[in-house]
Amino acid sequence: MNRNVPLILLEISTKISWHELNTSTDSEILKIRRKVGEVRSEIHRMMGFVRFNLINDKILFGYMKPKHRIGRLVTDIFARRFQKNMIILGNEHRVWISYYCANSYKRYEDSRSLNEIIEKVKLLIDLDNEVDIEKIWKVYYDSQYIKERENHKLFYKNMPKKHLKSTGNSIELKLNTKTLDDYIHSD
Amino acid sequence: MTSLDKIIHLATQSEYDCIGDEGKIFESIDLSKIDVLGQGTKHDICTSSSTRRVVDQNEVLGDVTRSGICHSFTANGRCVSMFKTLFTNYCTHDCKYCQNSTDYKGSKSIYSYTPEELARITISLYKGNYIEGLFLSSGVSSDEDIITEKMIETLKILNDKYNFAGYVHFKILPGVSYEYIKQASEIADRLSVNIETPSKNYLSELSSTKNYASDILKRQHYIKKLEIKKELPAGQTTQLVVGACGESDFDIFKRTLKEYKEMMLKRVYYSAFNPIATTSLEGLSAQPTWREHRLYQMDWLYRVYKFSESEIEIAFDEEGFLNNKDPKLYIALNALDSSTDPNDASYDELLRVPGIGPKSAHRIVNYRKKNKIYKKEQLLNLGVRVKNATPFLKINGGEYSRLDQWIGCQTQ
Repeated sequence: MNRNVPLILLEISTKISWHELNTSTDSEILKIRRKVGEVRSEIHRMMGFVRFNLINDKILFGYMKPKHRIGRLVTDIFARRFQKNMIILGNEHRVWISYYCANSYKRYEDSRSLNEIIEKVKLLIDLDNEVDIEKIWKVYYDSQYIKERENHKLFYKNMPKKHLKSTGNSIELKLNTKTLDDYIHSD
Repeated sequence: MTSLDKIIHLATQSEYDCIGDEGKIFESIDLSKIDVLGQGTKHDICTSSSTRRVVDQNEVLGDVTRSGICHSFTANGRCVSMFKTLFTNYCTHDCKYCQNSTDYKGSKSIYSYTPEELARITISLYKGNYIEGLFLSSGVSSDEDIITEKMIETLKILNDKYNFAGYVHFKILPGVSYEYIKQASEIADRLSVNIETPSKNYLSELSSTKNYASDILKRQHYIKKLEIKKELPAGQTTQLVVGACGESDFDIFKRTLKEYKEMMLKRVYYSAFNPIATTSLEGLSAQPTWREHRLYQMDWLYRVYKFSESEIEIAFDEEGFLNNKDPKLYIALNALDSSTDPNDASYDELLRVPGIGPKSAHRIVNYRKKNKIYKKEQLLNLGVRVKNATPFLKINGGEYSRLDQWIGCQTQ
């Protein structure tokens, strides 16, 4: 949960049932319902928009700056998805690391920046390498665009800039900042 | 908390899996191949990656979700959740709307993947978290069985060599043998055959090489038979191209009903026709995207809201088309005789009020067990779109006349 949630709401939230949370019209409970929705949708967004680079085929790292305290949870979800791979997610102030194998998680957290941690990891495994998957992704992503069906409004609604920044996906961010018109006329 | 060194040690000591030479394959790959074969599927719109399969094994790569995940959106605002690609763009059918048709007059290069290559690209994109899985379709090449065998080989490499457990949507090409469909059904989450048009006659206008009954419906029937024996995690779907052969919305509706009732389909997708330059239909005008949107609303009313066939028929005009209005509102204006009281209406009755969906109807039913609904704010807090719903509701005794309903809905 976010730090900005008033204590009183946190207190209420421990007392109410799932059923109450979902059907009540009480204004306080409504606030909790909205907050739950916000947190859930941020988790879902991170699962979709976070991108990984590979140092070697077992070490994946990516940028993530969530608004709520979901860093560890999201890192664990990815660790489970990519079993036996080391997942490193983080930003300028915080790094979460998780590794999942045989039904157990190994976790590490650090308050240094993502770049510092990556440098350290590269040093430890003595490898300075990054696999460029983005190149292939860009070609594929552009191939899916249908000129006749351009829909700026829907695009901005689904991929607002503020969300792209928190997951650091550069291809869509470029598309988003260049303004869509530049992009379309350039090809 | 475990130390950084320990985790690195754990991760790198486990046996090396097969993508170590990724860098090399990326250098040798022809990017224009990815571009052309990717473009070949851009009109395929099934991007749902939701499946009922549960990944509970250890030692696999990947996972699936019930909700599905969009990993990106194109400038069309459409979800990108899978690596959608053709296996080859070489095709011996002559579908008039298609850029891979033998009828196509422009120049084009023919590309094909090898199963190994395609599996590697899929795994790399998957590990970068760009995609939920693979959507594999193809031109039929010289023979649909030969190309399907290669496509299945791709799935087998993903499965056996990479232990891939992500989502797979596999297109069954028209006319493929039962044996191959069976093999595909054992690996894929979702199978689909594109029916393209609502009936035999319409299809024969668009293609002289495809037979509606034997190439398409029979294959759907095979998939259905396989589904009865063993559940397909994400079911069977299909897709129609809307407006390429003058069919009406009502024709499409009739076919959709058959597909759901007789073929047990999970979903039908509609793709508004867009003319592609130098195909035979380049002169035909494009269909408005709202037509596609209204068809989806009609589809939703049948599939999710469980409206009856005769109720939905109200929404079609005399020529059998939906107009550019919300069909649910249109049906409500014509079919709801009296206002609905949210305190005693059944779930189904609530669902028929514009502005009340399955979620809010469910909330109302639960809420009124202990409370009485007497003002609009309560409905607002239960998630109802009050502006749309008010003309059809009886709240605290107040209700709209039929005339006021029509006037109240003019602006919507």
